[in-house]
Amino acid sequence: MASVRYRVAAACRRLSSSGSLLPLAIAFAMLSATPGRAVIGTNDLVPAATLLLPYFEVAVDNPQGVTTIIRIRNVDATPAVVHAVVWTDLGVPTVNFNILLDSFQTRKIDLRDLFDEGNLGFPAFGGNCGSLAEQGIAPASIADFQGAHRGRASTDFLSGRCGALIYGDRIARGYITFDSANDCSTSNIVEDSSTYFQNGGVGVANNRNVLWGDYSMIDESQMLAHSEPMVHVEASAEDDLPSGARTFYGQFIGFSSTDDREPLAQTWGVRYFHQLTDIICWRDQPAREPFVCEPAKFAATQSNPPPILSNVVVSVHDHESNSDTYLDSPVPCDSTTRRTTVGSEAFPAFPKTGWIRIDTDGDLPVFQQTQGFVVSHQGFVSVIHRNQTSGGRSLATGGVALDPVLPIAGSLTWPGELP
Amino acid sequence: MSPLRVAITALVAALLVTPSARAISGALDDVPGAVLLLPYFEVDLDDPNGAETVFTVHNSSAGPILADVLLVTDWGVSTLNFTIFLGPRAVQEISLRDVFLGRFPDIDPVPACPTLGPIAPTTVAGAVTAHRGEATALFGGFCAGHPFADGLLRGFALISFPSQCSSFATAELPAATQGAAAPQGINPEAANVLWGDYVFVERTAGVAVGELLPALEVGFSLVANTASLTTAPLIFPGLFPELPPRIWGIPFSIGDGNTTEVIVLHLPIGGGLLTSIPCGAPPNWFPLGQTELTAFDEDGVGVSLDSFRPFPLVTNRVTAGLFNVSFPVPFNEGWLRADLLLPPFAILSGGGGPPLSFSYAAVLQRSDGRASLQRALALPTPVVD
Repeated sequence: MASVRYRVAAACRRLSSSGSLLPLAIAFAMLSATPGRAVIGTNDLVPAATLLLPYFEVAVDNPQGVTTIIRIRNVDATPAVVHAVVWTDLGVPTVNFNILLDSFQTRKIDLRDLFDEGNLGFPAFGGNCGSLAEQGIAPASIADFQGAHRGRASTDFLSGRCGALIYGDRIARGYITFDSANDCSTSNIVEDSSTYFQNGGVGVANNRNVLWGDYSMIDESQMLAHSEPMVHVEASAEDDLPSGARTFYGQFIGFSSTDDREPLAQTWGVRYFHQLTDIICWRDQPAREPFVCEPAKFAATQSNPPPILSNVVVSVHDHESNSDTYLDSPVPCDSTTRRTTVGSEAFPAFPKTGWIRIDTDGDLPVFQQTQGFVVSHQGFVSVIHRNQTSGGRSLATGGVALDPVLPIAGSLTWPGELP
Repeated sequence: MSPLRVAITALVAALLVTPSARAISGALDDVPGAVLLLPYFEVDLDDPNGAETVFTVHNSSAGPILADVLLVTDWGVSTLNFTIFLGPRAVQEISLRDVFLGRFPDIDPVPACPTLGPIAPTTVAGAVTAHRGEATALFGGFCAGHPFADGLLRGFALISFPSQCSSFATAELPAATQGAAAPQGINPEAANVLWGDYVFVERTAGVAVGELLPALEVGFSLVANTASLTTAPLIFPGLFPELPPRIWGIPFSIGDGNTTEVIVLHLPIGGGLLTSIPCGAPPNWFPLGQTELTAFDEDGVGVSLDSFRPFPLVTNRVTAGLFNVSFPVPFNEGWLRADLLLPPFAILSGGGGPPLSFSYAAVLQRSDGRASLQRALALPTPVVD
């Protein structure tokens, strides 16, 4: 373990020569000032027990193509074990691995290493990670792994079935979850849901809010350089969320709330510029099994996207006419995760500029009746703007959660449709 | 009906009626708020391709609103206050270059509300020199900003709803909304309707980076210090904004073509407004410090930078680097833990009192011509300080 020289300085040392007291007040004053704090159920950037990388792309076997680079950190003075699960863009898990983070340590992962070399660029170690020190993907399975994230049949990871959309390119897509864990594991929440989460964080995953991460999606050929924090999902060890509560992993655990993790918001607002904005939409969906490959049905370029996630309400506000338009198109949230250009063939529209309200719940009651399962009403939406001023390089501004607080139980609080 | 009248009517209706989603005060979450912080801006009026800052303000409500924009120098001295009109669900994009050239968003002037009327060119010219850190006629020849002597205008801005203009026109409000305390029957969270983003544009470098404007929500759960609330461009009595965090995690990557610039906004509270002072010497509070600043490398090895004061102004944009004498980050990659509580206020609050300071931090990272702007991580505040 690396030595840690971090010390908390004595308060008196901090009160050095700043001169006289600062005679100012800018705007807001509180008699009982309560600075920002982590709050369960809010879309805040604070250390968390789970990180969601909402979307990644990796051009396989193409070092010049797009890749996604992750930085994950432990902000605590004691080490942390991180259990990561890699999912396809349709929400099918493929591989899982462990990362050991020393106190205050940062790990940088280029997903190109995972998809082209089958490793993370570093081994896991310590605790029960010993047997997993050589964790990774066997060289013979790398092509199979790549295919699993490109909509191809995968023998080693999907039992010969498919689990992703087909885009007809050589880009692997998906998302990753990172959970603070009690020790290294090969568990998968889909297959081991009863042991993965247990009340109080004593299962595979624990409730330590110590993780902090961000990601960059870089594609020089497309002049893309998108960076933003991962989605930080806090756990509540104290709130003791009641059974039936909506939680981040609720659908995997029968909404028993044993994961103790806050849910994400349902309704999001993002600004857009016609053909200059990509929307990244991640939305929860019921656990999906690998399916018999039907390329025509699941091709992302087809007009028949997977029906399982068609329930989304998208409204577009036109700046110029100051009016709202509702869209029937489920794009850009028709799969678990997706990047869609506003004004593209897949998501045609719109006025030149405006903002888009995306309700990932949509017509859920009807949808639930017809599909016969429960959806957990949560999602995450962000945007990449390509700015002409910057020579086409991207600038990132995220999405705003318009229903920041999801009730622990009961109905949603969003006041209703737009007038 | 004039935009003002429409906005006031909508405001009252919203405060009284709208069953908005419940807001959480005290968490700096990306949700609509009543106050937006533009934590830092730079504008180069001498070079059309030079530094520029553009921000947008969205109205998430179904009714039209008025919102105030307050520009403040990097010494914390307010200079310009103007009002914008936002239709239902509408957006207003504001270039600060335009503002400092005297081009304000169109809105009907209302005599009772000075921020709605045309702003005199001399006032704008005074604000320009104030934000350059030069002697300004706006303050009788005094200075109100740090003299970088590079021609750039620097500062930060607050955007708030409801507008002061709503208060100026109180005759248009029902009696129930007037008075010293927030009246019963009003939903304070209905004021949380603003969201937006800001972008730094550097045309010559081909860079434009942006992030969401941090949004502060209001609610009844927060109690005001009325002595200093008079300085706020806020709101109805009884409605107060949450505070952002004070301890931040700031990633950095320097060397090998990477650079990191840290943006820090201190917003100390308790006392009077910052004022301009005679030019030639810094304010007596300069340089501002911090309670803790520690740099961690990738392996978690920490080095204290407490003795340095890299964020000496009320708002700062500072490049980290081993050879930056004011901000000598000794590692190529890692993160900073910054407790931005201002030490003088630890004294003001009586030692055992609450921390009377809040802050915001973001980081602008560049790598091989690419750039990104990200909010820093809000770290938990110790229970016992």
